[in-house]
Amino acid sequence: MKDVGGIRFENVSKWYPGSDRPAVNNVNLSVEEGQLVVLLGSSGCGKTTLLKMVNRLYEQSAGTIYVNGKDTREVPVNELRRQIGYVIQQSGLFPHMTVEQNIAVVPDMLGWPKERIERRIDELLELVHLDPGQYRKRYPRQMSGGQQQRVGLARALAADPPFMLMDEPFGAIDAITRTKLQDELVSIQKKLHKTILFVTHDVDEALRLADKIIIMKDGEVVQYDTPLAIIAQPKNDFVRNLIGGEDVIRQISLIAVEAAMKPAAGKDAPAGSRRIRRDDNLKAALSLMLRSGAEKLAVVDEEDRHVGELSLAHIQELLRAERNMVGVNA
Amino acid sequence: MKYLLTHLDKVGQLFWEHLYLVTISLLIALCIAVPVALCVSRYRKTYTPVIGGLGVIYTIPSLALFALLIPFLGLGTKSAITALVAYSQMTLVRNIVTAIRGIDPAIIEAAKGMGMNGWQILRKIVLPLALPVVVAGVRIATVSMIGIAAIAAYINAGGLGELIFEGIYSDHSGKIVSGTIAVAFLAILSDLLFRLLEKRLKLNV
Repeated sequence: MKDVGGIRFENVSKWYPGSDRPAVNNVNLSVEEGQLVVLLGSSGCGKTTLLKMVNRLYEQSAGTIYVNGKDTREVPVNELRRQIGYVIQQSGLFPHMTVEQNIAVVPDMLGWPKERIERRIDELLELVHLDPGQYRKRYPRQMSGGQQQRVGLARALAADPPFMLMDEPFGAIDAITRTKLQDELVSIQKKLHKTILFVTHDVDEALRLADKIIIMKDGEVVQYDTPLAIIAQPKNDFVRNLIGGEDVIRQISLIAVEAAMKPAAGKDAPAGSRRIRRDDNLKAALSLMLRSGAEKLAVVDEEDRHVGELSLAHIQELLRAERNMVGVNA
Repeated sequence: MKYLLTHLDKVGQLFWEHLYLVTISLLIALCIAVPVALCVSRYRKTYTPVIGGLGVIYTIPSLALFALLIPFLGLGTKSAITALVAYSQMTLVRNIVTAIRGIDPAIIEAAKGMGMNGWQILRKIVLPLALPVVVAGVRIATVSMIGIAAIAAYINAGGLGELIFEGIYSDHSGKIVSGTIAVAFLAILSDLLFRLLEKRLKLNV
């Protein structure tokens, strides 16, 4: 089966005692291995409940959840949890332990030799851009919220689990730091290819991070698709309102310049033309056009070599094609 | 004061007796209070009846409680220790429960999510985090035990109370004052030591 390595929900429901409607109602979906999937919805929609059933902090009332092809109820619970990194809001760091002690918790439980744990701590702190020499011995309260959340991420990655559950990890962090952490999560994910389920109620965060988005409402999955498809083809008014209607600016902020540009084989950029990187998004390109008044931008690659050109017409063309393509898929 | 200085060896001996009585009682009291508090913090509904029951014990006048225990345990240290243990339960259990409840549930959830079992969570997370508040409870319980233990001399349990009662019967104010000063010294000293311990523990939380 294709999704054998990922997470699969089959007819999963959850009723809380004393509640007259299910918190999660008959969810069926698969999260493919190596993807970052965002659970998006307003509070009380069941997204956190769905997440916490994966590592059995909550038990489902009905249905089956498969992690790595195995029914979660058939794996010893702590064995299951140790292969699933868990990051929560406010980081959940242990306040009486230093950064290094926090990170070492799971490797310790797994019985790793001391030198291996030491090496791993340095490696992880560098991965999340904290200088090991400076931060290893700090206590959580001696660090900012953003730094704490970096350690939270490092701790969850400590034993290199193939899965990650992230429950609004950046929810309590100021907007500027949040954007930075989101970018770093994306670049870490590019290196590590974990299977990640990420809960948020922040639409922009979902669009920035997700390979695919699960939109939930009243315990049910409304739409499960790529960010682009969700924006181009919202399934109903609820989704349309949630993601901000037919917001074309939002849409093009998700598309790389590369997708719309016209390649320019070997030619040099016209002298004095405005440049944009090919991995920047179209929203950045558009705002550069508007600001500079340039009708055409020179597209360059990572080494500043000229690879193509981009005009407003190119963007419009792409949007038309995109709409038709998604329309066919849906 | 003159009595205290001329009879340092006698006062000293009673001082150690007093300290011994309180220490033994405290250790036994903790052995009971910790598991009781762990149960109460796990099963929330038991809080009111348990604390209520311990509160009732707490309100019995100490002299009466000593007298009530004599038919079962006789005169002497056994009755005294039992009474001291019973009195301290209220303070200890309530403080330990408060300490455990004061821990952010998100921290416990993170520990669970990382695959710690119940015993590991208790040993590595709950106890170290609860310790400063628990020590505060132990401090209060100890100080009140030192006071109550002075009355235990009335049922032949020894300690500095002996000196005070002797003074009362023989109308010897020097003994009364010396005993009182020694009891107060012990209480203040233990209060200070526990405060220091509390401070040190708090640094790490």
